[in-house]
Amino acid sequence: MLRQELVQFLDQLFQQEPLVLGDSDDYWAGIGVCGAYQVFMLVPRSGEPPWEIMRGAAPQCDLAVLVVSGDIDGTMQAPHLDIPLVAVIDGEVSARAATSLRHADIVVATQKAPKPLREAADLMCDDIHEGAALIARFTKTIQPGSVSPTPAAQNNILEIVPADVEQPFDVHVLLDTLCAKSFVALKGAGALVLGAGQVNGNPVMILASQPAIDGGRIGVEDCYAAVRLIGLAQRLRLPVLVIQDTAGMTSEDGLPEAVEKLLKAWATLDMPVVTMVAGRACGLAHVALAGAGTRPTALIAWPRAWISLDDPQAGDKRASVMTAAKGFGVNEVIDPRVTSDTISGWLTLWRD
Amino acid sequence: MDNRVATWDDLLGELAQAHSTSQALGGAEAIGRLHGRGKLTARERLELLFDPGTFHEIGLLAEGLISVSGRAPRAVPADAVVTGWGRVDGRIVFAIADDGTIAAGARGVIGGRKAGFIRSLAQRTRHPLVQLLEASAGRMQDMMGSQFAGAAGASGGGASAGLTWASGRIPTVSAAMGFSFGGPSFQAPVTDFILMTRETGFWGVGGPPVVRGGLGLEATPEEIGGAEVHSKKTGFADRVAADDSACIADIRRFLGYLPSSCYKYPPYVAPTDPIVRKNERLIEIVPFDHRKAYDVLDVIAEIVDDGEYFEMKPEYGRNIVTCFARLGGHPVGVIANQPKVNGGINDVRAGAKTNRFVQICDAYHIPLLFLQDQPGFMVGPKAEREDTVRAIARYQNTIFSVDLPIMTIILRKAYGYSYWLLGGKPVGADLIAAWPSAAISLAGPEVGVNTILEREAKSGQMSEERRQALYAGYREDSKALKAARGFRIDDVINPADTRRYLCENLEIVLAKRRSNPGPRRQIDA
Repeated sequence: MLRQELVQFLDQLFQQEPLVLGDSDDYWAGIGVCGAYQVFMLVPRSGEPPWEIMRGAAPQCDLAVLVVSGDIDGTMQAPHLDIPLVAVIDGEVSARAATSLRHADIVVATQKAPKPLREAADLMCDDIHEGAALIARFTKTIQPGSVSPTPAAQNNILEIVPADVEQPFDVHVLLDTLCAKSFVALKGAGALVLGAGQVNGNPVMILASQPAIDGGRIGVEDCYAAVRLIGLAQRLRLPVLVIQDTAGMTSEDGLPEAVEKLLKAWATLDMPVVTMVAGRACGLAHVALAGAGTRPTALIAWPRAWISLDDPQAGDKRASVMTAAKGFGVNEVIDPRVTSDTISGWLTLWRD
Repeated sequence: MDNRVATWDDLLGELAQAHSTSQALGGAEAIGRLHGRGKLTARERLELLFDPGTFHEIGLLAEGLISVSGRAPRAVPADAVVTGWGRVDGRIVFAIADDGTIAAGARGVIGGRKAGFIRSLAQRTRHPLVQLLEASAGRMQDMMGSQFAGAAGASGGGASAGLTWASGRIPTVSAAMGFSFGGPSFQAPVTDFILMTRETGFWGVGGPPVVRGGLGLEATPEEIGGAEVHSKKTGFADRVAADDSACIADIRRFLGYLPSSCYKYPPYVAPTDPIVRKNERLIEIVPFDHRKAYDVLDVIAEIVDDGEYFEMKPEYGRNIVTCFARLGGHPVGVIANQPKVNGGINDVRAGAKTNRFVQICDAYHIPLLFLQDQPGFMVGPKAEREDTVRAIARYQNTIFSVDLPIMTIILRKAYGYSYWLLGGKPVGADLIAAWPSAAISLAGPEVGVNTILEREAKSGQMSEERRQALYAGYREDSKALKAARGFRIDDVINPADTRRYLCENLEIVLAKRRSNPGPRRQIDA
């Protein structure tokens, strides 16, 4: 990375002049402030990166950023840290380095990154400067209270979401409403939208099925993407919000293994999970997305929703969430116009 | 309704109707009957418990179904238990409140599931749990036959297991506001604060029908487990309240002294009562003559913030007072001998009472203040048959294992091994101060002289002159000033400065606290 590019990158990421720990032809290392977070940053330029600096300084911070810019040859085997690692790839790297970098908690890839990394990246951007802006936006979103809530917006949900459960809606529009436009999408797969957002000032990692794509059916790639997001929630110590409107699972090879990994991820997650059934919650897809059986912290639903082993017959009241609520199969059935208030109410239990 | 072709108006109308049905509980007639017995509904109780407008109900739409052969099935709104959370003085508290307007408040399987969910949530989120119990034994219609094997969570073993895990981690409260015989009576002892309403609240293994069926004995609920039994005889109830409102007011006061969990320190409330306030009245309240009685509650009221204290088990083991209060805004647990009842002697009931109180204080990091004026342990055949030694030993095990700031003020008498256990050096007291009126010794001078001169007295060789000389010597040696000169106690203070002395030193001894408090102990039943 050219010096001028680096200066611009630092300006975009940090609010003030960073503390420089090292600046040579081989690397740049320093600590800066991004939102409420202290961020350690390392930019290797040539040779083996100075991992000992990362090992020593990064644990004092909240987040580590590794920027791989230009053609780097080497393993890029960053040390394991107790804080989340963001890898920004802006150039060709060796296959071995690519494999290592994919293990970062968040992978940001520019157009210059090799294709496999671009395909696996959590955040895609045109260039390194857009990458810095994305990281800054993401850190702002996960910082409690950094986004002004717009509680009145939830009143619009009845216009965004049709009462008829057979009518799909765009979950992105719903997320923008619930999260006061703070939602930052991470790479999803197929019918699963993943990212981070704030609900009434409470940061959450979000998994939302997208009913507008194949009825929100969950496939193998969705499961693995969800596992990755759950891991990130654990590392960032953030609660998870799940929004379900799914007609079930796809029919793909490898589905049992993928679902097993997803169920294990829920079981090992040590953070609150609020699951909201917004529409259809069908069979194994309901369970796999933190539904009944995985013991989410809260299982709430809109009155349009139903939960069933498979697609129920029209008028089958057994599938209605109103029936599930009678047996305490869901904790609450709520008016959609109080959705963000209800979700943030549940999250308050952990925060206060 | 077919929810596939419904409109939002249809769906929200159905939801509002379901909410309304559930909120109506057993109906106006049943509510009227409950009110006629001087009781409140579950929802009215929760309104009193929580700060206005803060209650968030969970499981409102849950519904039980009572099916008895030969009768039409009957729906039970909310399955007769209202659950959720709200705020008490701004802090989150979970609650489980039985609904006495239907099925006598007996808990069904779904209601049990709701209660279990709330217990689990309270534990995981580390907030207090309040149980307002009505007739919370298992509902016969739901649990007769082998169904019982899978219904543990409803009211019995599963609930007790969850509460046992919570013991000492989150403050837990059980209030009998109805016939809480059976399962609830096994849950209550593992909670931290046990209350009952006078005339309407009952605890016991089995109520009148069970006693009649099992023993062929006719007994009233009052005789089996009324307020008189549990406030005075067994000490099972920490407080008896006149009615539902008073009971809930007590719960709010109790929670005000405790942290939300063992992972926090107790709540500080900025005092309006000056810490330098003089206690000139104390020398009027406490007679200088050690043989004259007085009410130690007057002493406590004079010392603590705003004269406010909250007594635990006020009718049981009355020779010892245990209460919560605040000093300079910090909650403290006060243990004081009560000279107006049996001279404030330490006996079997006092041992049991102080043991549980100290355990609660230790679990929730509440500093201890001992106010000593006691002649020692109760002795004699009756005391031994009551197993006094083991009761005191249980307390001893507790007090030797606490990790708390401890301050002790010796008001007058401090005699025997009991002196050490009630805030003496061996328990790790951070501060021991005495009033000039205090006397510290292995025994009172009369007992000491009589023991030492027993042989001489029996042989007729003891002169009154020698007896008086020995007595005067022991009296002089027992004086607080002498103990202070030998640094066996830390200070002798003017009684009028007691409040200031305690408030200022409490700030210093609180420095013992760790930065991250955590679990200390479970609390014995």
